[in-house]
Amino acid sequence: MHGSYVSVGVFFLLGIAFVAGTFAASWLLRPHHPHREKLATYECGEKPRGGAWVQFRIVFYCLALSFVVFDVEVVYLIPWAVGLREMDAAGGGWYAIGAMALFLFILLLGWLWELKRKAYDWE
Amino acid sequence: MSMTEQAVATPLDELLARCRAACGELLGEPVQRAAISECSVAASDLRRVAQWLRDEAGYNYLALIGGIDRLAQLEVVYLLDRLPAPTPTGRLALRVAVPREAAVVPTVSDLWPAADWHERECWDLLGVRFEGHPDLRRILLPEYWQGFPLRKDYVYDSNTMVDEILERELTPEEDHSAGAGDLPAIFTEGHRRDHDGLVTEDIAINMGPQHPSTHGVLRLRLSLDGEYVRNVDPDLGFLHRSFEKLAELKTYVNGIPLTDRWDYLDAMGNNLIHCLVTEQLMGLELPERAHWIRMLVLELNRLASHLVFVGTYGLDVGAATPFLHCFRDREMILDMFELLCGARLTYNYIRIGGVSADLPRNFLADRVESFLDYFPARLTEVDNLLTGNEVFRQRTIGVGVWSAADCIGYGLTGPLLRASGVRRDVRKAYPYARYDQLTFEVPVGERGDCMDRYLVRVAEMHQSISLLRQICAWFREHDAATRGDFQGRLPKSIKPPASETYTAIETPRGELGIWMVSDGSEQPYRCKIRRPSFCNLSLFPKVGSDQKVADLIAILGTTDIVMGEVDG
Amino acid sequence: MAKGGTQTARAERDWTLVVVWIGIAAVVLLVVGVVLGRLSGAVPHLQAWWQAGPSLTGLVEHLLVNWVGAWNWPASLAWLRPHAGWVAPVTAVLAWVVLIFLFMLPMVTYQIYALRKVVGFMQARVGPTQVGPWGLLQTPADVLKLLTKEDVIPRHADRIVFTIAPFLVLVPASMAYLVIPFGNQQVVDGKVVYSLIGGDLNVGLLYLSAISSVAVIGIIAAGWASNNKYSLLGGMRSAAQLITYEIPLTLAVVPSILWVGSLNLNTIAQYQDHLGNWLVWPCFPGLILFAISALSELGHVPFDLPEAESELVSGYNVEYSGMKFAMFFLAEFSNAFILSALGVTLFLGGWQSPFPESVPLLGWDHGIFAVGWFFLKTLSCVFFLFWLRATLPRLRIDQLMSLGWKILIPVGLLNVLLVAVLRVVLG
Repeated sequence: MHGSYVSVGVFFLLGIAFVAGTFAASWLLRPHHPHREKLATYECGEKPRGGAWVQFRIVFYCLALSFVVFDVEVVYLIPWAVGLREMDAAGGGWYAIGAMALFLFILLLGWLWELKRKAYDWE
Repeated sequence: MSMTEQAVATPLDELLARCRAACGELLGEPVQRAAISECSVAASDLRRVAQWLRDEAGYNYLALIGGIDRLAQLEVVYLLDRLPAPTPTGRLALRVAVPREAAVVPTVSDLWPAADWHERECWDLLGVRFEGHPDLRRILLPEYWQGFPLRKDYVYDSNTMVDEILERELTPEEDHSAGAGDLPAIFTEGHRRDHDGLVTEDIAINMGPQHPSTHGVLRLRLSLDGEYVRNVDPDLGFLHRSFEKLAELKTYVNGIPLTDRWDYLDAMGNNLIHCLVTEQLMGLELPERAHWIRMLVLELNRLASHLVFVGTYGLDVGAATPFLHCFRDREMILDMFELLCGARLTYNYIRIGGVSADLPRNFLADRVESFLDYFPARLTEVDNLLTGNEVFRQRTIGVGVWSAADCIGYGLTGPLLRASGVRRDVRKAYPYARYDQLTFEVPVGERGDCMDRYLVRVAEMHQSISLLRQICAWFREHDAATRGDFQGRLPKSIKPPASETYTAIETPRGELGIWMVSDGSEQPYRCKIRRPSFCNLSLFPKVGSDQKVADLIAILGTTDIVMGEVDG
Repeated sequence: MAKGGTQTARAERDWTLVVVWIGIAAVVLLVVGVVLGRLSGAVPHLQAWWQAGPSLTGLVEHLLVNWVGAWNWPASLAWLRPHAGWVAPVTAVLAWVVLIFLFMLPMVTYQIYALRKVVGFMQARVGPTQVGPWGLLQTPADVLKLLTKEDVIPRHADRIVFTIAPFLVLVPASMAYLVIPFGNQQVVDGKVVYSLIGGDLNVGLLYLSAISSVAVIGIIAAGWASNNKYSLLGGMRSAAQLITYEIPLTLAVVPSILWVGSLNLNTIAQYQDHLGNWLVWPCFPGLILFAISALSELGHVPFDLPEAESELVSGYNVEYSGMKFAMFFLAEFSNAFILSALGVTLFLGGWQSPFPESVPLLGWDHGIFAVGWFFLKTLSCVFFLFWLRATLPRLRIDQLMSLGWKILIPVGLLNVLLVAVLRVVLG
């Protein structure tokens, strides 16, 4: 099994090398004729006014917070899911389900509260 | 001709009597033309009379505002009508004469919002200043333009005009990182927003002219607050080819090919209106067959045009397949037109006095009738692909709801108006050709949302199919007897007597009309076109604000504008 | 007409020539290989490798360690001598070469071709026909075009992030191939004879879901770095999709995990040895959840908001050109394949045949047969994606988010509990 994790590293490095290699090949092959107009930002053929790097309104930033909560919760689910069969074999299947049901119930309460506060409604 | 004293009181007399009783002796001598009643009014009295006509006489719809340069003075014509059904007086024109040097007329844009863009256009092209107009900018020509092209003494100097914009280098301030610059005030006011302590900035973004969903070279200046569009400012004129100016330089006959280029998806209708108004000025009678051929090609063209709408609307909401299916079927109609006149887009087929060529033999049986057998099932198929799809329903039902009052006030016509529940079709209100001999329904919507605007067009296509069947039935009866009789007798040179008139037809986009002024020469003296796409788009800044970006596209798609027509 | 005729004839002759040349080259290579093998003494090692089971690991062991490692290495170069510690990394390199150059690149290339053909036929047109026979060389030609195309980085863009973004998108896409079980693993006496999986990680599923969400970061980075308002909107939409569908996607796979009790994709595939054991039966709502969230994760129709053509022109990649653009395109199709493969592995039996092993031919699912079943199923899913593309319009962002948060997340949570109860009841 140890070998498998070496291959993750190998795949990562070779992946980078592959992209870099294609870019390098492309760099050797492609023309390079920059022009003021060509390097202008595309905005449907008109001159852009103002850049895009502003304090832009992201309506869903509240959801992003709740995403963090749920994502962590899903991470807790995974070891429980892997271990459920073993726990069941050891006779603790219903106990495991009960524990998780309690956990999910609390989470569901939070979900309901957010639903009621219209956190999931767009504006 | 003026009204004679002993005549029975006509509706116009009654109307004038009521107006005089209410507003005093403001209206000048009435003129009763073939299709329109007309009165003159002094500029200072315009608003009072207009308000009375709107509120008391029911003239809720301003069809057009047209300026005419009479050399001694400028005249502004306001053409009023009532929706959904005309008043007993029919269309009423108000004529205001102002001196050329001080051409100032009070605005009526607060009475009829439709006047907003009409007045801007009149200012742009004729230099009539509308006092009290909220935003009197040029609308078709660029801001730097000098002079007013539709004035008779206008001289075009290409050297000064074009160089200024094309050869100018960008200044660093203009380039990218600059602030709001010359954007209209709406894009700078409230630029920063406070959402419960979280301060965000709006961004000003150009949508178009190079954009897949602006249906041509429409440029929308948007201010975006996240996914929300807060302000919309359409910038028109990228495709402005000055048809009204060109029409004055060409003879009546030479003007027909120009009309093909307005609304290039419905070129037959454009041909027709130009010929119809000329025929009306000349008092021409047409052979019966010509009328029926005209209706045949008009309804076929309506189908072709609505097919483009259905297809492109699918694209606008993200479905690519209906587009190609619609274009496949549209090809069959274009093939028919190619057989008729050799052209697939710009037909120049309908001519003054008739049409340019008779139907080829077996055209109806081989082409039209077989198409009518094939097409309805295809239409239903494509329609089901869209309306049967939950995502499409979600994207269109309840989106972009337009009230009937808004539609009438902004002078919307055609399917857009009908989708909001106003049952008005020029073919019924002022029948032309032989539409009065055909039976058809005028489908209307209930909610006035994007779905209704889509459904109304599909229903209209089914009506067109039924109309085409009726037309084919007429030909089955009369084809042999009338064959070859497709063109009336015309004088050697076409010189309508000095007069003026307005006629309109129902194109796929709405009421397309021309106010034609003849001075007895071979060229029109003034040809003011009521371009339905232009009027239909004027509501857009209002309904486009405070929508999500995706809805903005969905709403713009239902407007079904053709930029050739918007820009004129 | 005559002119067109001669052109067609010449084109056919050209293709025949190409085939002949490829044949000649193959024969020459074979001969040279055999001669070199004989001369160098590699043949006995190759024979030993073949007898032990033709696995990649075995090839490295026999050829590199046993043969090359036994050469007479001068003392100064002794540190270069291959030894047993080299087996794992070198095998990984070989696996990468096989997976990327024999699977990913041809797959993606012809996926694009297939998409254009399939959607073309659905839209009453024919798709590419001009480059190569039946247009088969259209996509390679497009790739070559993109390779030689000028790379434009807008003046106002953040050059570094702009360049890193394609890496963030493509590297995870290529890394995902590591854990996909393309076929079975032949194990005799605890020793792997051959293995049709790149790297048999025991947390393969976790690895895959971690890897696949990195690509979204690349899309957001691309949208932001372009300093273009359309890209920014596209990037932000992508972020919205990430936070909405990441959770349902994970919730959708949890039932499969708990049913089998493993995060190892090969174990999960092995569990579903015939149709009755496919996880689609106990975890059916999971499959639906998975399909919806995977579509969103891919940014595929009807969730293609980040690149909504009719709204944002091209969205996050609007400023990209040349090879950088190609990377986004490549990753998009590669991810479509990966997520289809994952769906097949988790719910539809992976490389297993739907029939029991006892049925001759149809029941066989080892070696080439396993790979055949795997591709049959996965490509059917990919076809389903094409079909959706030709059918559905696009959702709006608020509809997408409320679907995710109000429906998919609670359904996913309940589904996990239900499947857990079912598992315990069935024992």
